[in-house]
Amino acid sequence: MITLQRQLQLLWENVLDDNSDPMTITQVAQKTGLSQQSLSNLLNGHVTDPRLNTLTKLCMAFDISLDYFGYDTEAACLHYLVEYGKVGILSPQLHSIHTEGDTLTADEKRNVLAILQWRLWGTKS
Amino acid sequence: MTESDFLTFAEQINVLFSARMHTTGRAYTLHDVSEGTGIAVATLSQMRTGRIKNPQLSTLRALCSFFQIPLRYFETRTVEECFALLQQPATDDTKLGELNEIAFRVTHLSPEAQQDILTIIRWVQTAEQRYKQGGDTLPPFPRLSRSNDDVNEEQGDDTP
Repeated sequence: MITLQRQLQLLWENVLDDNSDPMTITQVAQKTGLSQQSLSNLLNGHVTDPRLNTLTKLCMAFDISLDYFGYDTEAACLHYLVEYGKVGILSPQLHSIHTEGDTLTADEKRNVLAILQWRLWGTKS
Repeated sequence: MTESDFLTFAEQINVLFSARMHTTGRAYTLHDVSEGTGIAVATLSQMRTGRIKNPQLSTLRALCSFFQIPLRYFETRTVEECFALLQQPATDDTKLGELNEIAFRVTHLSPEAQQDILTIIRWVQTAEQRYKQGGDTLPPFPRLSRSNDDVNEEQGDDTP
């Protein structure tokens, strides 16, 4: 089960502003009208059950649907961000991965994901 | 769009109570919903009368789960929009989870590593095709931008 804190971290890490930069707390505070302290409390996990108004303001700032906060796994949140184009412009290569990957069965996707995780590990070492 | 464009929470809840029916065909009572969500009857009543205007996420999730609606229901701007959303069949938004996790994680890789992943996807597709045609051997594993042996050496034997 993904936490609200992680959902917000994913938003902050991946949704970019008009200059293709990650948004700062100050920017989000300006866009939402929420105080920087309130945003910090959400981001550091001190507030785990915000109210509808707060969520609505965050959705407007990040241009996402409230549905995002209804997903209960990280994969589902990532799916939403990729599906609605919130993770930047896809390169031709990434586009091919997305479209060709769609032809794989669920088991094959999991296998590719396992290989990818192994590859990521190799890249770090 | 601003928050004031949305229907009030009470209006949204009241549409839910009028549109979603119990399996027996009758309208849901506050008691039914309370039992199914864990939200107190008094709280539900205050929501319907508009005394509670700004519920918490956990409450919204419980209502969504009980009434089988997406959270975006609480972003509706008109009663018609509410009804339209309630008529849509529930969808499994997570069925592409693995694919999108692949696409998402790949964004953090170098172009060479991204090409490797594409090569691997194509290899899996070929292997699947061969299997469906009755073949019992896998196609040779493609050479990647970074030698497989190099990666194996660095990582020991804990490869998938």
